[in-house]
Amino acid sequence: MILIVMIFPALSACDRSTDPKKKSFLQIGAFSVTRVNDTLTLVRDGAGRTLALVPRGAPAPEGYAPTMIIRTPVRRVVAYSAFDVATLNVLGVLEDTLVGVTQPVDKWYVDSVIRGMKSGKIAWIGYPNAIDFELLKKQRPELVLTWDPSIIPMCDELGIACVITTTPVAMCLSARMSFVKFLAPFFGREKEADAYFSRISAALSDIRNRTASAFEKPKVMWGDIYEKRVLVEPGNAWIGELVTIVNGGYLFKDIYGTSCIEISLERFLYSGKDADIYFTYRTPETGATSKQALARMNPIIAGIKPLGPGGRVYAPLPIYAQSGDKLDEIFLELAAIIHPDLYPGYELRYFQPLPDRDPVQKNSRQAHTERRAATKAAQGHTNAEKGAAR
Amino acid sequence: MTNGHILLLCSIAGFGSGLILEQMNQKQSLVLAAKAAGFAACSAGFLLRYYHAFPMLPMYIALHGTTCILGGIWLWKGPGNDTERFLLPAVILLLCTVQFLFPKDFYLPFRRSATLWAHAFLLASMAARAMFIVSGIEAAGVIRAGNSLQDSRWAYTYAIYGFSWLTISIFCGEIWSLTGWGTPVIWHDPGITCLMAMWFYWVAVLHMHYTGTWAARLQPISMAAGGLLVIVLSCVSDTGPFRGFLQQVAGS
Amino acid sequence: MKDRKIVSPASLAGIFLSIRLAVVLLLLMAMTMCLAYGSVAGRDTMFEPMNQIGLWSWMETYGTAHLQYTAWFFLFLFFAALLAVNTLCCTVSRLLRLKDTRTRPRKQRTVFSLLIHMMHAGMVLVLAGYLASYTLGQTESGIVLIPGRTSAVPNTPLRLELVSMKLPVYKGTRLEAFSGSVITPRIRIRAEDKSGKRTFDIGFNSPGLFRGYALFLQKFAPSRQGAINSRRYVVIDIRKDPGMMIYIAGIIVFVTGLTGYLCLHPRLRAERRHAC
Repeated sequence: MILIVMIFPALSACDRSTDPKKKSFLQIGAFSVTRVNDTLTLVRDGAGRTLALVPRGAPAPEGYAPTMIIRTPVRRVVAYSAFDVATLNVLGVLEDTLVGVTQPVDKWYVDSVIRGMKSGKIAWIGYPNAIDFELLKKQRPELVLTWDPSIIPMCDELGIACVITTTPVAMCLSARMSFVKFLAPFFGREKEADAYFSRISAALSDIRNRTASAFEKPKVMWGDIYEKRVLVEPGNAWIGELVTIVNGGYLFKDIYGTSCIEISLERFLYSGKDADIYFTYRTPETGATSKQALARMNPIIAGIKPLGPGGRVYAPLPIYAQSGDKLDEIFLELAAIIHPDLYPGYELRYFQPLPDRDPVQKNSRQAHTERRAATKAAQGHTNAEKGAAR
Repeated sequence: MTNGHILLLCSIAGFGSGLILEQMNQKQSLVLAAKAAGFAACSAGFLLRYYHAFPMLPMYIALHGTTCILGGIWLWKGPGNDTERFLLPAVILLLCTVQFLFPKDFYLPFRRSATLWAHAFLLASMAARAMFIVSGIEAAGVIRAGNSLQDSRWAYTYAIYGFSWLTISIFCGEIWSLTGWGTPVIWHDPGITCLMAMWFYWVAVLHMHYTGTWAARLQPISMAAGGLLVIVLSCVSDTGPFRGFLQQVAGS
Repeated sequence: MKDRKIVSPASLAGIFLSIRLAVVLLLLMAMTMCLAYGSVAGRDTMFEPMNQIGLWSWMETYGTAHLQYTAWFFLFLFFAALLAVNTLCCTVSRLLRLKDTRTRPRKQRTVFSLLIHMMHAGMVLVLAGYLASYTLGQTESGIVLIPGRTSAVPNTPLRLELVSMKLPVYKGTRLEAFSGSVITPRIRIRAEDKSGKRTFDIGFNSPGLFRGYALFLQKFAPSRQGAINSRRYVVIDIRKDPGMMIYIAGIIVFVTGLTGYLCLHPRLRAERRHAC
């Protein structure tokens, strides 16, 4: 038994080579991809469920329910999360495969999605807490990428496979960058995934080198308080790791757990006394329009250092959540926020610095239109850069 | 500062005073009063954290509970030999100070800890750690006096009780893990590896003693090292980031 | 020709009959566990899948893919296996000695020795139970149930229905962070297979049992009053674990031995002191 325990793993060792014939295993945070042979790849989703990816025409493996077998390449996908949509974009399959989303067209900033929705190819199947299953059925998806386990029984009945793309533990930086490698086998786009990962890694390496010489090490906190519930990004989340990599001091670095982990109020306020930069979860749409507005919503946090004079507070813009395919730009922006002296003249696209006080009151429609225009301009700027790069 | 931190500060003051007064051979009643004050403050802090979590388990509280039990042992035991008179309160003071400067009391309790097995697991492990630490201190006294371990009535007694409590703790943890998650081992909390390390080490020590297969001089050394190991492992798993004393006081 | 030292089976057996070996192994296991702390902290996604996919699959995948973090586990398995063999050999050898009436000590000491051997046997049973659990157990994880629908559990003959959910909301002020939350849900499940059906309640620490399968509540929703997504569902894991009874038996045997030891030890010690 001792010999078996020692020798077995060595004999059956999986390697991470890209030789398609060889058995391989890849862990991406709580996800994993195990290539068993040419006709079977096993994936483990964020809920610990194992699904079988089988090429079309190949025999179905035994021991898997029909909705746990996914025929590849997948041709029709519904995605709940904007990050999943962005990942499809990275793999180059968004326009061909996306058939359903959970936000209406006016909430989207991704051109391919807007085009698809306007042409009728991509349907808005309802908000996540009120999915229209008839419409979902009409779109005939082969796969639903979701964070909501409650739709799995309904999808089982409709014969649709579901993959949970959220995890009980916050995604680390490596998992965030590599998530594209988890979805790649569904579409046979492993090369695109590898190329994207290499690009993001190179960008991260550049940022690390540039910020290594930073003289100051600003202290950063990321979280918010909702009716006395204190939620923060833990140190194991990609944000916490990134702040450390770019030579910042992440004040919740020691905290481990899920994204938006709940901690004690005392710890949040204690860290708030030290913080130089505060990132809130709230967006301008949900009230993060100024430091004064945040303090008004949450008098408890009014005393934290970033909300005082000279402090810096940032809110994510709507396009941030939909830019998972631009991780390199997001990393760069975070580095520029933390070390503005190292990135002189950098214009923010994904985060908005909050002024001390609310600007002159505009009506909400005007404000929304102006923000959309600004975001579109930023997006157009990004696309132009990409076009130039190609 | 929270009320818990204030109570820890009071316990540092109480235990510290008790240590100084005892070393200066002051009146026993004064020493007792200081010890009792430190013990009361430490226990109050422990009970307060429990109050704000029950029926769930407060997170990372084992070190605090161990300190309370050590304080109780010091209160009950009375002065022993010179080494014990210094080491036991010094260790208690050290643990209180470590907890004050490196608190890890900001995690919220989790729902699955609302079971008798979880509480038994925690309380038994606290008792075990305290027993092992005292056993280590007794053994250190034996080493310093140049005596044999047979001369210390308490060293092995505490070691045996520590081993018993730790075994009960580990078994309760297994049952909690089994009924809660369905598996005998849960990997979310690396602290379980510290408990297992303690268990294996002290089982080795007890085997050394009862089988007489190792040199007699190694026995007290291994027990003293075991006590130190328990202190280090308890601190590693139950302490958080550094918080300066002045920062905490100023912040309050 | 030089004399060559031959390691005979007898001398090999002698090594396994040695208590020194046990002490060395225990100290090595203690060291391994200390190393394990650094490897496991923050990496539960690497080790947790062992609970679902079993030991062999885990060793093939996660275990070998991250050897810098999992090496301690392979070492631990090796030492545990050696310790189990060593314990069995020592226990059997001493029990045989006890059986021999010429060398048997008086009754009380015999009972005392037996109690110690019970603890050893209990430990071996617990280790065997763990091995059985992680190599022979069957797990179907992430089974989602919603009210009004029956779901088949793959690779089992079971069909499950979520009958009702009792979600008492905490309304107090003592647990501020849990105000408006559900702390102790009670979920009523109906399980059926070809031979019959049964309805039972499960909670976070109270699994349900049906035809050798155990149902464990992993997640439920809504967990909070006024949650944005108030759709009701539960996520359960279903396990068939042949190792469970073995390590429960091991725990009972060990605790029995330990209790008897704690009762008898002071008496024997007092007798020895009196004799001196």
